[in-house]
Amino acid sequence: MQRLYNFAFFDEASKREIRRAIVKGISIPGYQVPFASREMPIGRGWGTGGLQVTLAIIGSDDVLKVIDQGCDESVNAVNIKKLVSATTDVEVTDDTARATLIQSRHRIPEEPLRDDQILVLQVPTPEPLRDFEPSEAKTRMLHAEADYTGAWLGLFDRIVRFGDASAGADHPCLVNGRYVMAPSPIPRFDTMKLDRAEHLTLFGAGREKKIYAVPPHTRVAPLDFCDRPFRTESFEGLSCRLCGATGVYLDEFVDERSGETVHQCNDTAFCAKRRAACAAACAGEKENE
Amino acid sequence: MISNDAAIHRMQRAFRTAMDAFAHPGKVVRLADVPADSLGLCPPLAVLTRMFVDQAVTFFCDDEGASSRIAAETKAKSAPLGEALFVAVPACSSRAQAVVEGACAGTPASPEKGATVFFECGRISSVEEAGLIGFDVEGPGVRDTQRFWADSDAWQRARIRRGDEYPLGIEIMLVDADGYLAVLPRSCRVTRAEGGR
Repeated sequence: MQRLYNFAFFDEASKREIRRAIVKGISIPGYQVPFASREMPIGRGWGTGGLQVTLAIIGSDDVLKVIDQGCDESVNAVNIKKLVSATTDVEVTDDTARATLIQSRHRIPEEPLRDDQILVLQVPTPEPLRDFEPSEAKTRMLHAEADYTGAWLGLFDRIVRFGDASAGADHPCLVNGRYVMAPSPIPRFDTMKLDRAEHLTLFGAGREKKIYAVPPHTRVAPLDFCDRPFRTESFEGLSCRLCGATGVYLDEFVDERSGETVHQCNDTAFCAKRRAACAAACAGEKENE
Repeated sequence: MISNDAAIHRMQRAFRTAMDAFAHPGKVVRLADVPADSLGLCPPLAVLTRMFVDQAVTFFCDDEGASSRIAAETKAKSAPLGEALFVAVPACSSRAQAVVEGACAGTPASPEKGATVFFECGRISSVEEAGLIGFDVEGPGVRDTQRFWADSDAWQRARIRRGDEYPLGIEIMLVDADGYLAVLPRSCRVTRAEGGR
């Protein structure tokens, strides 16, 4: 006997629960909406929040892209793609421009997203005040009162200890002038891509049972002090060793044979697309000659 | 193997249309493939009800007959207006403004408990038409200003009279019998368009 899965794995009641949380999240930008997170066929902490959001909204016309730390081929990304594809039959792609729905862990693609694209980010720790206050009941009250002393203290603590207020990733942001939000562990380089973006961004935290959102054209301001402004990682003077791109987020490698430090695009699909375009242009030039 | 039920795909498409409207307040979108089976409401209003209402939430409908049918089909519990998470206001309602005014605003610790109101209008349009009132929408989801037209302003008068202090508030989903839909989340500002009726 063949077992039939409902389209997009979930039963319709589960989708309704997640959809209700999504629309409330969009209506209250940056606010963490609690929801009845479902058991998934992957472990909590492996992208179940993002996966639940993706499965609740995906349709047969969608083209899906899944990335993990900028890579389309990492284990997490491949397994999520396989699960969604097996339960929906939707087309998957590595090309950011072709995707209508992009699920990501730790990166926002280099290619600017359009109004008709939706970005789903996987979130391990949605509560930006958790380091300061372990009680969920108390953090809810702190958000209610817009008391973000803990978030500011966290920045001050970093200045005292490291001389810089900027976090390595997941830098807290003020959304629409009201809620402080954890933008998921995206690098600081990506944080400003959320500010007044063209696209809708949905955040899913399965283990913590929270969904939140940043609608298009919404102000997202990283927390900083006027004398210690927010700074992104700098790749000034560096370029990708494969495609030559500058002004993008680069990974640093050490060539084991030469001992030389080299840099490469973190967004592998972006890099591959640039190289393919360059190869095509070169081939065209040769033909013309 | 995937069970491909046409109703599931229809609801998914309707949700994506509604989500687009939530993400772009004041943008007029259209629900496609609206089934005739209507819970005693206008069919697009029934689609919104089925999209969000089930046994996990409470609802209030300002029409007793429809209220019984919604409870029977969705297994949702009917609740007093001030407590319901979802509120349906059919066009036949004689106290539409009062219903919107009485909907639950949520609490500071749980603003998501503010009601979502499905409000049936006679006509919603993205272009100016005779007899319609223009509204300008600003806020998250809108680049500058989004303008749309509707034949009713009872919902807007109710919104002003409520005077909710953000993040408390309600979401209003305006829908007409042709399936046109515009959403006004609590985060947006709505004003009468200058030169509008």
